[in-house]
Amino acid sequence: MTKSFDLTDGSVVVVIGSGAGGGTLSNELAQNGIDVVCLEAGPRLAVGDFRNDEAYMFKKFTWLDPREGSGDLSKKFPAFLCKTVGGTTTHWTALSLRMREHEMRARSTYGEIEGAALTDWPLGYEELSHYYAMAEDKMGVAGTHDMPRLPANNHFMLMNAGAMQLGYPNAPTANLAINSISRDGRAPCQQLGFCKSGCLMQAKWSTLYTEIPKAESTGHFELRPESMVVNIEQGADGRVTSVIYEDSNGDLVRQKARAVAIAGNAIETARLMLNSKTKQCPDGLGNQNGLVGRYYMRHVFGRIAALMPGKVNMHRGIIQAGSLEHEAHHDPKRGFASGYHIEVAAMTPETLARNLLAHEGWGSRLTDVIEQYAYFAGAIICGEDLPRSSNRVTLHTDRKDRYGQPIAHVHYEYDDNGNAMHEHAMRTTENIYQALDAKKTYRFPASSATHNLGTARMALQEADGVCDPHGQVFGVPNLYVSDGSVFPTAMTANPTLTIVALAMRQAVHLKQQMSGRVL
Amino acid sequence: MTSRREVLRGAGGMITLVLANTACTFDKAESEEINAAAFSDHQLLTLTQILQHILPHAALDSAVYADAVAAIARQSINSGNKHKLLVEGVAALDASTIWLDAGASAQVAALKAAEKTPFFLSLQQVAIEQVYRDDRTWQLVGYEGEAIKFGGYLNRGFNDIDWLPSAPGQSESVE
Repeated sequence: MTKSFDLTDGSVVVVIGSGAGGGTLSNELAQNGIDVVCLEAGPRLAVGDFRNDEAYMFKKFTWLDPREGSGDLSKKFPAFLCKTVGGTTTHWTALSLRMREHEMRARSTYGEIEGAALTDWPLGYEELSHYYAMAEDKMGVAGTHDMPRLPANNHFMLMNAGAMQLGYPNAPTANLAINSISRDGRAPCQQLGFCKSGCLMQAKWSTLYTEIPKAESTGHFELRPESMVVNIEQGADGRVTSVIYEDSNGDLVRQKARAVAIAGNAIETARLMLNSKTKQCPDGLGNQNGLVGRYYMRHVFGRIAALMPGKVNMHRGIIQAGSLEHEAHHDPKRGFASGYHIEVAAMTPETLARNLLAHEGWGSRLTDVIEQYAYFAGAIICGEDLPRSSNRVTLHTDRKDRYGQPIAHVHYEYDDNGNAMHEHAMRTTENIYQALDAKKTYRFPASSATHNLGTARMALQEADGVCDPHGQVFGVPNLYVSDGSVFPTAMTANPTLTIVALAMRQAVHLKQQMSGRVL
Repeated sequence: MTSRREVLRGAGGMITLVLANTACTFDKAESEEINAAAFSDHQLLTLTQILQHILPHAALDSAVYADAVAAIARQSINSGNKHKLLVEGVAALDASTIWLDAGASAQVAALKAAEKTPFFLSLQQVAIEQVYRDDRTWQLVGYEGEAIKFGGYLNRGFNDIDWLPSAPGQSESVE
């Protein structure tokens, strides 16, 4: 019983984005009888539209509207997000790791670091842990609650064996939001290996086939795909009144709203806030202190490939079956603050070839190596990067997208801490493969960022951030941010679980505010 | 290798690229666009040969390279820049003598000299895209492609690795 709401119905909460943040928030509100209109820029795919073909699905999912990068980012494709119902949860690899307690107190733990705008999170670890447990249960995270761990595939067994040769302890497969058994009406994982291409088994949690249809079944939710929000309007009292979006027919329409929650992934969220210039907020909503778009983080990233002496067949099974957390702790003796994960990450022949080109050149040296594809292993390193004021999303001064809005310019530079961590992590990963007699290891550059964070940071006080600890934008009482934009620091873990946990927490808060008629 | 591939122009502006194992036929509207983008047989054969030097898989059916060039040519239809880059790149290789007529080592040497040109760099990227998205190449290198057709690797070798050492300290206990 899908519901449809009138454009003039000002009693609805408008949620912008249908991914980890927006999809979760929508369902949590709808389950509590709150009417929600969810505006998603991308189309609604059916699971039957998925194919076991990375290149094909990349074109189907990816947000390909232009952005511009600078600093250490790709100029043309600085970040990789999805424009589709379900957002990046269609494409994500399902690693569902909690933030560590010390990471939540980043400023207290790491101390003062020059150039880094470190801060502690403005909420307590115990409170967040409560929502982590709820999020893990919702998503069916293997290794938590009643969900058994998934079995290790060749690729992770290899990495773990290499690490053990170096003296690291045995590591289990990762906490993954992938069914190891039938659960929540979804099948168990059959180890297809196409997690990034939309899970055909629906074993991997994605809001596309969990939160969204569940919200629809409440009768309190309407999803509008292919609806690109271009502006949020503010009334004289400071409250937002409506959103303007281009609908699937290409018409600009206005949806009135009781409250608005933005969950467009950190770059698009910041862009929308900056593009929404109002009488009260001439520099963009919530941007009275010039903080919207600042402190953009994307994790310390790097990729390694290793040519092993025996067959690995890294493409078989879950793409990121395991994550080594042996170096995730904070130990300043290593020469940097915070830590990192080493995560298995299978690559296709095409990705491998593109990256090997820089090492082997064209011709038979390259093809001799690629013909040994079955003997390759791949890993990524993912570590905490530090928030810096100069790493930021701004509006491009000349270029506009097809909706007539200035495109996002994303500037990001690595810092000393990140560079030292990167080197340590790459070296450790090489050692792991060399401990198993790798014939050769290759360092590849970081790919375009999928972990986009920090552009509307939470803080206790307005002077220090864009949002309060519930994601409410300072100075705009009924505007919320509901994605990774609110992270004041990046933590080491992949961000989705934390985004879901915060969205669940925000839903409780919104419900209280509404029943107390504050909203 | 290239002799296995011919470009036939039929009546009514239809173009059929006849390859070793495949034939792609374009409809009238498309063929008019291709005519506008006009690649000569010589240009197409040269591009095919260049791809074979960039990504020389000896055991790979040469139709893979010809198909890749057909796709690259089609992609350039709506981009004057791409088309110009390809046509001018081939012309530059042919500047003193016809590159295609040279021996293999002379061909490679000429490509080596051109490897920093926008033409070569661009062709290299699209060559990788085409050749390594082709399931004939996947088969050669050991990538098994679509997994749903056999139900995934759960009972099909996802954990069949048999050459890893046992964990340090465990092997001693056997003796």
